[in-house]
Amino acid sequence: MPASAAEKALHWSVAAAVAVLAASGAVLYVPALSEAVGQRFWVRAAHLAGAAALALAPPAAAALRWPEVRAVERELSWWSAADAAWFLRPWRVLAGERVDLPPPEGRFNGGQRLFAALVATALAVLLATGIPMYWWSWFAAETVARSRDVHVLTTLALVALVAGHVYLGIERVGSPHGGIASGGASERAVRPDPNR
Amino acid sequence: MPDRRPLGRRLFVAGLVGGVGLAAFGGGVPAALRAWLEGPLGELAPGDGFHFYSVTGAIPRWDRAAWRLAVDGLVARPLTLGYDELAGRRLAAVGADFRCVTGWSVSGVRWQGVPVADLLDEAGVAAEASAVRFESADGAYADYLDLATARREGVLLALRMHAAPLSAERGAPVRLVVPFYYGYKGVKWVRRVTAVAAAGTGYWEARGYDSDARIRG
Repeated sequence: MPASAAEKALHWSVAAAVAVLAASGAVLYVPALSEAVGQRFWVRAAHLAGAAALALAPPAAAALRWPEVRAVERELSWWSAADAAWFLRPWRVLAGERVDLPPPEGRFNGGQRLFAALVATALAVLLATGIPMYWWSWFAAETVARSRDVHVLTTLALVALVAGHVYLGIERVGSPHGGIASGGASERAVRPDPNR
Repeated sequence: MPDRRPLGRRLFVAGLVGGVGLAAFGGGVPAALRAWLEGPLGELAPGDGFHFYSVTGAIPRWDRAAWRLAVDGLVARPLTLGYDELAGRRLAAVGADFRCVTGWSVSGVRWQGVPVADLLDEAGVAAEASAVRFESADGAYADYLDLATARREGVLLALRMHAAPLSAERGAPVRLVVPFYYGYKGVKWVRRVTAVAAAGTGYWEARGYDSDARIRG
C-alpha cells in the first residue's frame, strides 16, 4: 500500500520546507555560521520563505486532494489498542516478557503515529512563535523573548525527531516496512486500516 | 471503530495550546536554561552572549593608523577624526541591556564612547538639519536618528565594551549605541556621521522593520 501522489507531494514539500528552515535557522542562530555566511537579509528571507511554504503546503494539498489528505490524517490521528501495545512493548521487554506485536493496523505503527502528531505540533508551534519574532513591533519585548525561547526549544526537539525519522527511513530501504525511497509499507506487512 | 480514538489530534491541540500559552503567558524559562539557549547550546558561542549579525559577507577590517571617522553633511565645520583623536576625547559610559528584535538579549552591557551630541556640537549642526545618518564601513548598512534622539544622553559612538576595545564582531573600531532602542539601530563599523535635512529609511526599515525602534515594555 504505497503512499499516494498527494501524500508524497505533501510529505516532500514539508520535508523541503523543513530542510530550508533548519539550514537557514542554523545560520541565523549559530554565531560561527552567521559570521561565515553573513548576508542576514537573504538568510532571513530564506527562513521566511520556508515558513510560508510550510504554512501553505498542508492547506494547498487539502484543497486539491481533500479525500486523500483527510484519509491519511485520520489514519495517523486515530490510535488503537495496537498502538498502545506498540508503546508498551519496550517496558514489557524490560520486564522480561516475550512480546510478539501484531502487525499494525494500516500502514503506520504507534511510533509513526506519535511521530506525525509531534512533528505537526512542533511545526505549528514554530509557526505560531515565529509570529512575534517577525512582527516584533506588535508585541512586548518579553513576549518576543519567551516566543524565541519556545521557538529554539521546539526546534531542538524537532531536529531530534527528524534525525530519528531520517535514520529509520534510510535503515529500512528495501525492507517490508518500507523506507525513504518507497514512502510506505508493503501490503504484506500490515493489516487493513479500518479508517481507510 | 469503538476502540480507536483521535489521540493524535488531541496531542496536536494540547501541544499547540501549551506551546503558544508558554510563549504568551509563561513566566519565562529558568535563567540557566535561557543562558544555555542564548549560548547557544553552551559552547557554540562562548564569550559575551551576543549573536553575530551582518548583512554582507565579510567583517570590515580596519587599520588604526589609516582609519578615519567623517562627521559631515549640514554642519559648519566638517570633521575627520583618527581613532586616537576620537579615543582621546571625553568618553561617557552607559550600561544597558542589549535587545534584539528576534528575542535574544544580553543583560548589563557596559559601553564607553564619545557622546554623539559632543561630535555634533563640535561640528556645528546647521539649523536646517533634523536628522543624523550613520553609515557602516560594510558598504551596505546605514540608519538614521532624528537630531533630538541623537543628542540624548547615553547615545554614544562606542569604542569599548566591558572596558575592552570593541572586537571586530561587535563593530570595531566604533559602533553606535542607542540604549533605549532595539539593536538594529546600533550601526556597527561606523565610518561616517552625516547631518541631513530629513531622516531617510534605514537598512532594515527599508526591508519591513518598524521605524519606531523603542523597546516595548
